[in-house]
Amino acid sequence: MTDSWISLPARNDVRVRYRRAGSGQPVLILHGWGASIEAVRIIFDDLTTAFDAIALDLPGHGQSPAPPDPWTVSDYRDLIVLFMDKLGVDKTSIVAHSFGGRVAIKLAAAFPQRVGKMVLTGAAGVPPRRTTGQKARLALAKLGKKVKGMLGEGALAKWMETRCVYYVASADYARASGAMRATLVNVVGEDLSPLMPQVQSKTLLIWGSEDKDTPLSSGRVMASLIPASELIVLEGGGHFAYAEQFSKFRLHMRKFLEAT
Amino acid sequence: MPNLTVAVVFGGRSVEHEVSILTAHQVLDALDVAGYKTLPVYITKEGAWYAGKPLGELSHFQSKSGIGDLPGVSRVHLSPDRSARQLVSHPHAKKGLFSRAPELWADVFLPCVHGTFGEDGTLQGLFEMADVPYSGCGVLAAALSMDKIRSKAVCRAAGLPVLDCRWTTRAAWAKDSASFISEVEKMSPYPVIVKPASLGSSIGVRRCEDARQLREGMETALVFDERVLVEPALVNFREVNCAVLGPPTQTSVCEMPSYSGDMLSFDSKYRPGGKGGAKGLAPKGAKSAIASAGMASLNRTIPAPISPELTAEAQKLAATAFEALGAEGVARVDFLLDENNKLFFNEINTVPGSLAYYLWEASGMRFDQLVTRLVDSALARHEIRRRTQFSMEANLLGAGAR
Repeated sequence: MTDSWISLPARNDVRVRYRRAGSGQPVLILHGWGASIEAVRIIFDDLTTAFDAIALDLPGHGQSPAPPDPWTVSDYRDLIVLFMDKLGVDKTSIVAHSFGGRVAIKLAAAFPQRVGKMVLTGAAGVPPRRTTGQKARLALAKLGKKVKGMLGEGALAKWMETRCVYYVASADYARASGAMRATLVNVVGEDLSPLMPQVQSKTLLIWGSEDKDTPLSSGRVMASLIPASELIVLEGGGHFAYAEQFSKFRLHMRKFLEAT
Repeated sequence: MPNLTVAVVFGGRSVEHEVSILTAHQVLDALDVAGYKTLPVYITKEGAWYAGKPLGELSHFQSKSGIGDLPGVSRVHLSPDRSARQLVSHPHAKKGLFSRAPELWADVFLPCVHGTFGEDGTLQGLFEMADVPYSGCGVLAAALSMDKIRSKAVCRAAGLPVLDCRWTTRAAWAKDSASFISEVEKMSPYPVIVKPASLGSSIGVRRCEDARQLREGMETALVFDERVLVEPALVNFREVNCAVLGPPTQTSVCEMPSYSGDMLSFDSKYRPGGKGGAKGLAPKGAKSAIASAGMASLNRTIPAPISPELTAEAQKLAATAFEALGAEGVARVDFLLDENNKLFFNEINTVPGSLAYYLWEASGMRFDQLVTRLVDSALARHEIRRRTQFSMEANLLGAGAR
C-alpha cells in the first residue's frame, strides 16, 4: 500500500498523508488523538474489500506535519471538506475513533449533504464527568501552569516542564508539543453535545464497556442525542475495543454500512 | 431467528485443534452479530467436553491454566440417549458450593471441529443419536469427504477430473512394500506425492523423487494413517479453491492460495513464516505458533487470477463434487491447476478453516448472513428427519405378532 500526499489550503497551508484503496461507496476513516493511519489500518484494510476506503493522518498526527497555529475542531472539519473536494468525493460514510469522532460529528452537523452513514467508536465530544481525583489533578495542573509562568524560562521551569507535566497533565498533553498542545486544549474543551441533535446521518455507535477515556456513559449520551443512532456495546472492550474485538467490530460495521 | 441458542462445538482430538479454536471464535462473533445467543462447547485434545460462556474468550486458550477451572464453565457431555436432546452435566463435573452450572440448552449445534473426530462423521453420528439439529454434512457425506481415497472415487464416478492414484494399508505395506512401489511406478513416473488417506492440514504429505524417497514417505505417512495413497506429482501446479453452500447449491468466488515451496505443508498453511518441509510433520511443534487469524490470514489472492471461463469451470466442478458427495452446509473444494490450465479435484473440506467466510464475503454474503443460513438449514434438515418414521410401533416379538 503506497501513501499519497496532498496540500490543502486550510486555516494554514498543510500537507497531509493519505491512503486510498478499494472500490465501491467511499468510506473515510478518522483516527484518534495522537494516532495515525496505522492505528486504524485494521479498519482500512478490511473496508478495501468492499468499499472505496480513505484514511489520512490528520495535521499534527502520524506523518502529517502540525499546523503552525493552534487549531480547533472546526479547523479539522473544514480540512476534511477541502480534502474531500480535492479527492473528488461528494459524499462519504465515516468510521471514526475517539478524536476522529469529534471531527465527524462537527462535519455531519455542518455539512449533512456530505456525510452518509457514520460508525463512531469510543468517540469524544461529550464532556466527561470528572471524578474528585481528576478535579484535583486539574486544579493542580492549573496551579502548576501559573507557577511555571512566574518562573520564566529558567532551569526550574524546564524541570517543571519535563517532570511535573507527566504527573498532573494527561498523557496526550504531555506528548503534544508546540501548537498541538494549544490545539489539544481547544479540542478537549469543546462540548459537542449541542450539535448532536443536528446530525442527520444514520449513526452506529460501537463502544467498549470498559472504555476509560470516553466512558460508555458518554456513548449512551450520544445515542440519546443523535436522532438516527444505535448503540452496540462490546463487552469487556476498552477505548480501543475496535482493535481488541475486531472480528465483532468489523461485522457490525459492515452490516451497518452495507444495509440500504 | 432471535432467542435461538447455537452451541458452537470446537477443539477436538485432532491435529487441527488450535485452528478449530480460531474458527469457532470467529463463528461465535458472527452468531453474536447475527443476533443469536451462543453456547461455546470445547472438546479438549483428550476428548473431554466443556461448556460455558467464558469459553468464548480466546484469551483463556492462550494461558496454560485449566479450562475446566474457569468459573461458569462446566464439564458436560452429549448423551446418545435421545430423551435428553441436549448437553447434560458430566457425572464427574466439579460442583462448587456457590457456583452455578451454565445454561446448557441449545437449539442448534454448529460443529467447528476440523479433521478427525469432528469433520469425519463421528461427531455427526453423535448428533444423530442424540437427535439434535446440527449444521453441515451428515454422517455419510462427512465420512466420505474426509477420506481422500473414497472421495476421489466418488468424484471420478461423477465425471470430475481426478488424478490417478494407488493406495495401500499399513498391513499390506508391511507384508509386501516392493510390489506396491512397482505398482506406483507403473502408474506414473517420479515425482509422486504420498498422502495419508484421511488427514487434513497436509500433515504427512510428501513429494518423492525416487523409490528411496517414496519408501521413506510411505513409512512416515503410515505413522499418521492406516491407509496411504500415492498420486503423480504435477509440475508447476497452482491451487484453486472454491467454497460451496447448500442445499440449494451455491458457489463462491475462487481463491488462489500463495505458498512457498511446491506444496502447501502444515507449516505454510498455518504458520506464516514457518520453515515448511520436515517440520511440517511435527504437529507438536506447530501448535504453539499458529497465527491468530487462522485460515482467514493465509496469503491468498481473491478472486483467483484465472480467466472467467476457468473460474466458471471450477465453480461448476465444485458444485458437482459437493452434490456427488452429498455434502451440506459450507464446504471448500480444492483443485489443482496444471500447466495446461486443467483443473483436477484434489479434496473437499466440509468444515473449512474460518468456514471460508472470506470467500463468501467476497461473493457478497457477510459472515453473519452465512451463519444464519447454516442455522436455518440445520433446523430445516432436522424437521425433515423428524417426519421420517424410524421404528414401528408394533412389537414384532410381542404376543400379537404372527
